[in-house]
Amino acid sequence: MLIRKINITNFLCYYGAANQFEFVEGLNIVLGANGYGKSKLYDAFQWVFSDGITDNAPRATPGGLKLTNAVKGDLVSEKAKAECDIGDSVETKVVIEVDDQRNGNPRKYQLVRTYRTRRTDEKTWVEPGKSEFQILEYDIVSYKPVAEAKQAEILERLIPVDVRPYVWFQGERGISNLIDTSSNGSLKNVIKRLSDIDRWDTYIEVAERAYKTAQSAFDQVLSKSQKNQVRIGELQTEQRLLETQVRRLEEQITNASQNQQEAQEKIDALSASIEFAQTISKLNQARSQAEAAYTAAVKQSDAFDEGLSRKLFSDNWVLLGTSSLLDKFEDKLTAYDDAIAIRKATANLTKQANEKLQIRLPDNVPEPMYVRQMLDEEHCKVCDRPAPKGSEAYDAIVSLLLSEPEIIQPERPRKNLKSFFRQFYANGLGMKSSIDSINQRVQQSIQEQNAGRERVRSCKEEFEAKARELQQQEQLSGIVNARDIVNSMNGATADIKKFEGDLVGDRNKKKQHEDRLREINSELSKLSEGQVPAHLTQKKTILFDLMELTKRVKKTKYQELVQQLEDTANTHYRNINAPTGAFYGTIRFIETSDGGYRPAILDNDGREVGNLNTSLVSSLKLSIIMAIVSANKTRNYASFYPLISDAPVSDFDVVKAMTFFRETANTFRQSIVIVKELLVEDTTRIGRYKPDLVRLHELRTDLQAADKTLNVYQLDMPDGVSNAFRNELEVTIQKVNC
Amino acid sequence: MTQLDIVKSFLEDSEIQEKYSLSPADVAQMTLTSHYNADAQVLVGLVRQMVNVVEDGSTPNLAANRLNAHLNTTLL
Repeated sequence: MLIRKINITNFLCYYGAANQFEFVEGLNIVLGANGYGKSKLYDAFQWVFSDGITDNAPRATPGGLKLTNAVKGDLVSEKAKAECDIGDSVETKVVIEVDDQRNGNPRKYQLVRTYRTRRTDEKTWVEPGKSEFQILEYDIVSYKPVAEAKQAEILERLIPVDVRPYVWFQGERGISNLIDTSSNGSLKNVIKRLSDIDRWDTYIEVAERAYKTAQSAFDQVLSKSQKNQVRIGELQTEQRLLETQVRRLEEQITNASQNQQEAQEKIDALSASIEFAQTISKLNQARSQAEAAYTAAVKQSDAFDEGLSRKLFSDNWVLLGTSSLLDKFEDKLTAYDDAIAIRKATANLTKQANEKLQIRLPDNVPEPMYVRQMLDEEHCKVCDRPAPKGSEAYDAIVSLLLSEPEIIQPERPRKNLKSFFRQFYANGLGMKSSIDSINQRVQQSIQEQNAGRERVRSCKEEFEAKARELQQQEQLSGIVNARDIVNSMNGATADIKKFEGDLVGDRNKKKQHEDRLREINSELSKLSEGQVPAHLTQKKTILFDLMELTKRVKKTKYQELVQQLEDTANTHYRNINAPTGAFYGTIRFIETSDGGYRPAILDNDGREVGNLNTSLVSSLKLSIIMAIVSANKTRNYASFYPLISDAPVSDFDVVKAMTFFRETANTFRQSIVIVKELLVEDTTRIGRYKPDLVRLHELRTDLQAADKTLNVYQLDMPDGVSNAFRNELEVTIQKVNC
Repeated sequence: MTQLDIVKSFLEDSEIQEKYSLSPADVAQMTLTSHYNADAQVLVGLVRQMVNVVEDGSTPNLAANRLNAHLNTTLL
């Protein structure tokens, strides 16, 4: 198929009907800056052929489509909708004109997809869930509609559905979807899908069935033979047993291969996140350790603080600064002693005074108690005569009483606490040095407390830092189950080793059984001589040889195909990368134990190169895609189908993009490449770009030398129009003369 | 790939060539009517028959029966 023309009307950012690209056989480049409708042009092709546009939802399958019944009115140009009056309709239409030049019977078709939406009020639209599709075939003078029943067949002939993803793809996302370089199964699937390798499986099946029929006929006759009956019986029994075992081993090998592949796919799926998961797992461990250290430091610090309170009494800190009280106590004690001594002395003196006082009373003076008694009785007992109150005698008795000295009651004896206070003082003196060093001990404890608190602070900081780092990693990667991922990865890796061991063991056993079966066959053939018709023996032998042959040939063909693919991929890879001058190595398809192939880059010493940059990975994938398309001589996709790719060189610098364009032109009969490279800023227009005419001219010259044609368009916007306002969005198409 | 190419693909196998005394040249120069020694002729005929029935789209069972029938005719 050659795409001659595409006309786009009111489709996404393509407003109006004057949006037409005419394509040539050769390299067609459509230049467009970001937001200028590159992907929408790619979508126009997809919409016509597949009734859907690229699904850009974050969780959409890479390369997946969002069909018309889901997109509905969003297919229609916003500007066209804005200009539509209530009650009117807007028609979205994409028409692709193609030539089908296969089988020596050239045909021209118009593929037309249409969608209509009608405005019922200011904000409401009738948006059907279906588009209309029509194929028109050119018939001498005009295009005429093709019956609907034939449409699918024509589309499949123009470009088969299984081929489309390999020649029509969008950017790095689309390429990754086709060739997953980390997957063993990826290349195997690609080879199976796009080669005729399945043909050889049919031959194997036919030869096996034919052999079984021949063997059955042979065994039937042989079992009726008269000679060597026992030995023949033994051999046939062993043969049946071995055949059963071989079949079982084949099943086991298939299962082990599948299990191994599943484990590998699991590893592949986890490989993107395992690095993050391992980091997160380590961070988790570090955070737990930091948390434990922080908790221990807090506990230790709290215990220390509690100990400090106890030390007020246990270490006599409460006595801090009381050393001087000992001196005061000593003074008081001395004063006490003095007071005691004084008191004693006073008591003695009093006693002596009393004694003296009593001694000083005249002998003829009665005791005061008798004096008072006499006064009470108003009678002098000395002279035994009355002494009434107021009388001379009474006053004489009173005079005796007045001179009575005051009798001091003796002080009550007090307890002598001297020894107690002495002991108390002695105890105080014993603690003096301890009290004097309290300050030092308090200082030391405060230092220890500060050190403990510093430890708590640093542990807390460490813990918080680890927690923050962990949170950042989790947010960055979106991984919250790091441990599960690491465990799954470890489990899958262990599974692969186990299945590898199973495969080796089972394959060895199978080979031993097959060798023994050949021996049995040979012996049975000898024993059957003269007993089984020769043609049955011959038939069985030759069909056995045929069965083995079909298996070997399939293996050889598969290896040839892989080698051819590898060689072709290397040619493309070299052509794309060599002119850049940077290292690029060699592509090697490494066979894996499960029978798959994994693409790798080897350096000059044949060592696999790890950590490839995105530019090399992209060129590796593009080279493999080109190889798949161009190496397949049976289908010869490169001749039959055009390459349509949106942003295939987004990971390349301009030099490498140029080599990619040359390689594409040399590989595909027609290619339509939609890119933003080869544009430079237009200094005469604000926010606009213009084609890099120098490089385009260089490319044209190179292609002309290889007898290839270059056709260039630029996607532009009228001055003053911004792609930020969808209601005004309008892309213009300009042919570039270079 | 023509049927003759497929037949040649099978007969290019060195193990089968050795067993049936076919040389690489024999295979390279093979045409639809080439003749070889008796054993090789049976094998070549069988492979041609197999390619023919498989490429015609016969079911595996039918193709296998056709091969047995072909050998019955050839070897008897």
